[in-house]
Amino acid sequence: MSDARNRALPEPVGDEVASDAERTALAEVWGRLEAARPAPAVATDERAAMWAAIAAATRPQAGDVAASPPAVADPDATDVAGAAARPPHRAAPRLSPPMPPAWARRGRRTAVGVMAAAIAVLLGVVGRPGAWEEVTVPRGRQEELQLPDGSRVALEGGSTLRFRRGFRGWFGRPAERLTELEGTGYFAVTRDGRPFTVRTYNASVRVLGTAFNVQARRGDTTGTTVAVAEGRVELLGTTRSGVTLGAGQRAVLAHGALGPGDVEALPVDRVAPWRTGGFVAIDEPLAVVLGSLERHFAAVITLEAPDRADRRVTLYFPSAALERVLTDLATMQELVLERRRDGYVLRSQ
Amino acid sequence: MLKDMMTEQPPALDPYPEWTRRLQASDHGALEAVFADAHDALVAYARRLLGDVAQARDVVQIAFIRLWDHRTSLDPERSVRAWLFRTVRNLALTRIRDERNQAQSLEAWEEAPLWRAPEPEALLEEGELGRALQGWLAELPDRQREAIVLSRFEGLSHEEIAAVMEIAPRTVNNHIVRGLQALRARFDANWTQEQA
Repeated sequence: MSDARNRALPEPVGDEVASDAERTALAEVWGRLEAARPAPAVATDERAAMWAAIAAATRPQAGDVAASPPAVADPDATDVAGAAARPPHRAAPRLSPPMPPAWARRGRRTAVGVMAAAIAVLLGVVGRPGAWEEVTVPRGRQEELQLPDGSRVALEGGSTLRFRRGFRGWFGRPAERLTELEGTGYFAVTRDGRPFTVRTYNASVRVLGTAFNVQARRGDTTGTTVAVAEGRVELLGTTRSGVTLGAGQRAVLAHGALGPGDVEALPVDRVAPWRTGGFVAIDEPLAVVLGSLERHFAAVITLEAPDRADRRVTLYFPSAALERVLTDLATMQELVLERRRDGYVLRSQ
Repeated sequence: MLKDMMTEQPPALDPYPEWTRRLQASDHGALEAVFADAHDALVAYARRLLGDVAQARDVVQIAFIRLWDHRTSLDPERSVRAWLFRTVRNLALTRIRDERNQAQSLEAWEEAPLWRAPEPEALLEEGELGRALQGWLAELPDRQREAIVLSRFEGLSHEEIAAVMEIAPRTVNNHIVRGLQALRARFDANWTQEQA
């Protein structure tokens, strides 16, 4: 931005005042205001992340992967960042054959999921009441199941949900509907008068009737993330202190207690973008993001830059293709993306 | 500061009219150029309004996506930068309003300040003068402060500020002069020559 303009009192202001003395006085305040200039609000990689998100949302043919496969480097190629930064309509050179279509078929997977869910529910009906039922979704897939109370859960690949068969205990109907989640799930909970609880390794989420996303993995350092699409939920840590989240809000429980200051706003369409083929990561360590991508796309991604594992990244892709995400990640983290027989490698330049 | 003054250059030719034309022609590179130039100032501005950097980044991101969606209907005669600031401002004000409405339905309605002073450590030049000026700025009427901030810190021209705030350029000038006069009075009353 034009810094020269900032240093001198703008012309029209000077013209407005009658005396030279006052003009000088105002010019001095104008100059001193420099001391009150706020520090830049964003770090460079946050700016790059935002540009990646904007570019993903605005590029011509964004999401139209089949029509324009993103460029990926051969192991020998060095100009990955440059190729990636070029929008596809400028004909970035295609350096490798298109990806095998495994990750492009995601749309059809829900049908399989519904069948799996039906089996799970059937087992719930005939099985012993009170026993724990467990549903695990293979990596790279996405499944939706109906729980005994009619609530629905969509599970991301590599996630496991446990719940009491029939939502019943050994001694009849318990006072709450309890589930346990490892991974990521989007819950649409019906009202039946009992609270519905999702327990993760370090938190529990209590609701009455609402729709929300829960993400929690023991191995990740990010804790439990809850984002709400409808209604209100209560997010509790192990100390039972917690916060209430409304629609369009999210909070992350890393460890210990949460306060109202930990609640962030989130557009409702970003609560569970993975359900519609998108991908989102908000201020998560790079290693965790790569783990999510591996599960989401059933891919193998290796980070050969250990010093970057803890770097925080923010990504939002309304419709994600693995290579597009990795290409943008490589660009913004100044890493080189390589495609090898056994998967992808992100390494230092 | 001294280095800044020595390297001071005459203002460069405004690249925005060219970028606007390229945007209209769906040149994605122009969006990137505008982003690189305006992003930081927009986030700083949004953060001043919203008091929260995550929300600020969010509205700025939406504004840029909206700019691309509206690219064909842009007016090359009018500043795209002002368009972005105005969009960010409207998005931020809508959020503040929604927040207030939500708070109203839950608890006693309490007027949230439209302006939130940055945390003291967020100031580039730590020190009492900066903090004092921030405090005095925060006490100005909203419109005076907004005009000064957009002019002084975000480098917008009077015409651009007029477009952002949806007022006449003449009024922008009045706001800035009144605001500076008030700051000057506070400065004289509280800041002796020795301290400075």
